[in-house]
Amino acid sequence: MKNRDILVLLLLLISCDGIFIPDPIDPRLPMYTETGNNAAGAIINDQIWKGVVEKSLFFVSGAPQVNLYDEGDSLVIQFSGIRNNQAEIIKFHIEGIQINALLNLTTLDNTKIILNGIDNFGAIENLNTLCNSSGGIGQLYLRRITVTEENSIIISGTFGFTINGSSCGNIDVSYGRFDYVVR
Amino acid sequence: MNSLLRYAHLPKTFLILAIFILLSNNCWSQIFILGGFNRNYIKQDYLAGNVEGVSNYHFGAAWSMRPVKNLSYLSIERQFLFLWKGYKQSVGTTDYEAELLYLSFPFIIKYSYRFVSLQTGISLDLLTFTSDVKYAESSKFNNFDSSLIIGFDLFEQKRLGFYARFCIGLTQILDYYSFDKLGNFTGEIQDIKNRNFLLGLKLRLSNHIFPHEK
Repeated sequence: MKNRDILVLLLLLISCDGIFIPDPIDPRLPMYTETGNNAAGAIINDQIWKGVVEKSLFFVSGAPQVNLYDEGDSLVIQFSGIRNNQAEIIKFHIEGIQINALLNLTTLDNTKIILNGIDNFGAIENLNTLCNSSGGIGQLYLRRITVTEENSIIISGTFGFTINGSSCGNIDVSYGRFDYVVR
Repeated sequence: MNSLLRYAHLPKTFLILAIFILLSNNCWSQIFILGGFNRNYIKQDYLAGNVEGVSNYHFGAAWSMRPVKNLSYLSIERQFLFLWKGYKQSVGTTDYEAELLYLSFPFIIKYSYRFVSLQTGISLDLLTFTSDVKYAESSKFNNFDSSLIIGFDLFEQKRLGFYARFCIGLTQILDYYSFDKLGNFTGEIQDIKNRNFLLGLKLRLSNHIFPHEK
């Protein structure tokens, strides 16, 4: 990615804590919603990864980040969560889009982005072991992106990808879902 | 015009209701309060892990009446109950208990012989609270449930009676999505029917006793 410093929008949540509604099929994961519950979840190598925004007096933890690079040609979305008591970030690098402002994210509403492992890929960063794996092949489905009356944006969707042959071993991310409010 | 047609059935409904009320005024009636324990199960096809039943309670009031005076063994009972339903699900090391509080409106037809009354009917239930909506705006469960009732009463002519009832859920209370490992939506899931077994005591408030019970 070139000129990645031209436009960086660090988007922090948000007005309230996340709401974890257990999935009716597998209650270890959050239910798939489109209401801005500020929660995400997935199964990574048969372990539960869960991200819920928590807001305290001085800081917000677990907030997603949405960064635009290269004058809107590249998009990086990252979700923070916990797996096996270790902090872990799920990232998506997407290229070839033309979005120069956050509000234009709605053009990606109901879009399936194929992660081919080269231009578009998923990645995992373990903040405890500092083991990073990228080049994930799979899919990011931005199922619903809406703008609220307060000009907040709700992004909801699903994901799944695999990373083979990384230094951290093979990684299988499945049944991923997210529902965040970003401003 | 279509909007007017929507209400075309109303005169007929009012007529039936009026006849029912007229009959009610000329018949015997009793009022009860009731409550007890219930064991709740569900019938489901999609839930992960082990699913078990849970025990809970219910309480409310009932009004029993004879719609036709000459058929003294036949009665109709309408109830209003606070009824907790639910289930427990265990996946891995995670235990999850769904608690569902319904406002229940059973409509029961009873046939009485000596101290036993056999009952059957239907219950229409409105979901008023779930353990999932403490902080959320809406529940993942449907607001409406209905069930078929089969059961019996004992010693209804006494001040204190006993009842047992099995409620077979007719409505699927969960509408959800199904998606594959990559996140492709593959359809909608309609699942979970309640099954409830109720045991309780029934206290008659009115002193009136039906003719055949004297």
